[in-house]
Amino acid sequence: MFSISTQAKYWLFTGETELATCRAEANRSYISSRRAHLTDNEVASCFLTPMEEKLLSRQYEVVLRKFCSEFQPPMPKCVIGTSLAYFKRFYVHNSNMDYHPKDIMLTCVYLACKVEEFYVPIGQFVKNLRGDREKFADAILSFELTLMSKLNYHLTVHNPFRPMEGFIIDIKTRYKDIQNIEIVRRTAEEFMERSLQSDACLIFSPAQIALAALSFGATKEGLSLDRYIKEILFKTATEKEAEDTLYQLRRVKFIVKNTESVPREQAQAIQKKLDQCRNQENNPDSDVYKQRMLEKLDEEEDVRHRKRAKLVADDEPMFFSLEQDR
Amino acid sequence: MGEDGTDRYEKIDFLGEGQFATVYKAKDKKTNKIVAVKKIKLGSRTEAADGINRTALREIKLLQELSHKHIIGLLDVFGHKSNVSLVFDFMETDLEVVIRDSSLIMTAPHIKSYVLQTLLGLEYLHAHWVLHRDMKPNNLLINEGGVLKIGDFGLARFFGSPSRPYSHQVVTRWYRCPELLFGARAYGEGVDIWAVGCIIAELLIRAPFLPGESDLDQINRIFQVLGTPTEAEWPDMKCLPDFIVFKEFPRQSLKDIFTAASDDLLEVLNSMLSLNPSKRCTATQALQMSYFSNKPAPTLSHLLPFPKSNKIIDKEKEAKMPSLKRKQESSDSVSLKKRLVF
Repeated sequence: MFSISTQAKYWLFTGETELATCRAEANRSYISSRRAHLTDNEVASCFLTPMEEKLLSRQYEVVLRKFCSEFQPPMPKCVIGTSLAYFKRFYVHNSNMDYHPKDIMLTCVYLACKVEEFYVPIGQFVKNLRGDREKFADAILSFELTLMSKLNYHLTVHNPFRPMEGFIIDIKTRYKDIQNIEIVRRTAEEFMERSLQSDACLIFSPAQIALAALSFGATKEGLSLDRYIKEILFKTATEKEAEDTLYQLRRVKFIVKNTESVPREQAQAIQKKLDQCRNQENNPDSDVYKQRMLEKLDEEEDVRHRKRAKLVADDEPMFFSLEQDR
Repeated sequence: MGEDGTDRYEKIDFLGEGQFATVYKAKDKKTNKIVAVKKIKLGSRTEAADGINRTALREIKLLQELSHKHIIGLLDVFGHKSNVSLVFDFMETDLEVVIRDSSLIMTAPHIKSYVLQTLLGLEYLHAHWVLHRDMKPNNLLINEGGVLKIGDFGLARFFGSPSRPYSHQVVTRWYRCPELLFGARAYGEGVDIWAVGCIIAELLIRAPFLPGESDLDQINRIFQVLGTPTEAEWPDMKCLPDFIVFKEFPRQSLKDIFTAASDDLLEVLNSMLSLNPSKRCTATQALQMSYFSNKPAPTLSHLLPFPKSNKIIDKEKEAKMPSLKRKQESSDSVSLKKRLVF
């Protein structure tokens, strides 16, 4: 249920301005942690600006969607939607310089597959990648917990796909003005696709995005859903509530229409800059990272051995049954 | 949530270890509350080839969205090094322990209270489009105040919109409904309701109602008691993937099996144990049946009988520790004295 969801409570922002503020703060905090005695000019040439970060994220969202659309076995839409939602949520409070979007992107898709019950073992997952697959697998698994924690362990994502089907059924049943709502489906779905490339899912409820998509599609076909929204959907609501919704729908359309693709050269230039300023501690290829992962595992291993020894010694009674054959 | 919880929770006691997790009793230093900390095992790549265990992920993703008196509360989640821990309400015991403690007397108002609490939790779950898929006495946890909460969401999932087929390998066998046993890949609330029916029966006879020893034996036992469904009763049955024709058994009267149960309770039971899932009542419909408004009133939670030990005292079973699987007990629990005290 969306109204009581963690998405509604923690992951809806008032608008682009609030999102920009959060992202600028993530950018500032990363830079201030490592600028040392650099002058502002030097900072500007070494580090990514918030704008560059945003373009980089957008670029990786395109890569993510391409990866998903070519994925074998074919992925349900909700996995793509959830992956993108995770990716966007992650970079609201984290800098691209701290965590490279390449690593986070793959981890988002992998986690979304599991959460959406589209289970693909890691070995099969990385078969969709070219290059050193073992290395990809290691990187994805090593970032999984970080990603979950940065998402505040809020893993349920409400996507707009199901609400759109719901509205279509409702329009067919209750709104006789439009005889064949199916004709708007293609345009509406294209709109939803584009919305995935925007911040819409961080600002609007999935139902608002779905309704905006249908309303956009209807307009293209010379139809209007305004009367459906005002007289049927919001029949029992106040006029203000209906007006507010219509206003939100206009905002969705505005934001989605204004998403633009990032020119290739520009993206490449930002990537180059990123290689210089990224956090090596979070770079799976760096020595410092490898060293840290080893230490972590050794320590865990140690603790476990000690515990096992203790268990045998104490022979404590247990009554919790956690084993299930699943 | 999400802060490093190692400082916040002080271990008090070790509670148990399973394949995927270790559970501790701990004190939350922030709130002074006693909690259960379930530490999910991750370990190295060889041990956890696919990363964070999916049953743990299900518990996190679903319980973060739910909050109800009769649903186990997920109070916090925190990561530490390469591990993740889930912090739950601390629950003293569970309904299986209560049922099996032969020193406890179970009266009609007690039974009504357990059934009511279970159904209130289940109604909330289903209203939020969650199927539990592993309802059994062992997963109905009880705290020191006698409040029952549905726990273990490791098999639960969202339902309601047509999507990929669901797994039919869900629900512990004794509580598994006929459509699952026939391999249904699309199903609904009925799977949880059937299990509640079996739990009510178990409360009445103080022993598992249909303790099948194999999937085939399970469905055989169901039909022996409730009768083999006819074409008219359940027309879609023959379309299920694993459907096989069974010997025709007549339906026994529940009144003869549960001799001391009141008629209004039998009405609930009859509806929950309908072989055709579309004829089973929903949790909401069950709660509206006269059983819940008729006398006697359900016992208040804090007055419910409480087991002396929160462990199942059974020498033979203790030897089999740590795996405490109910399925394995089929042989000795059949001989459990069936008692019904009103």
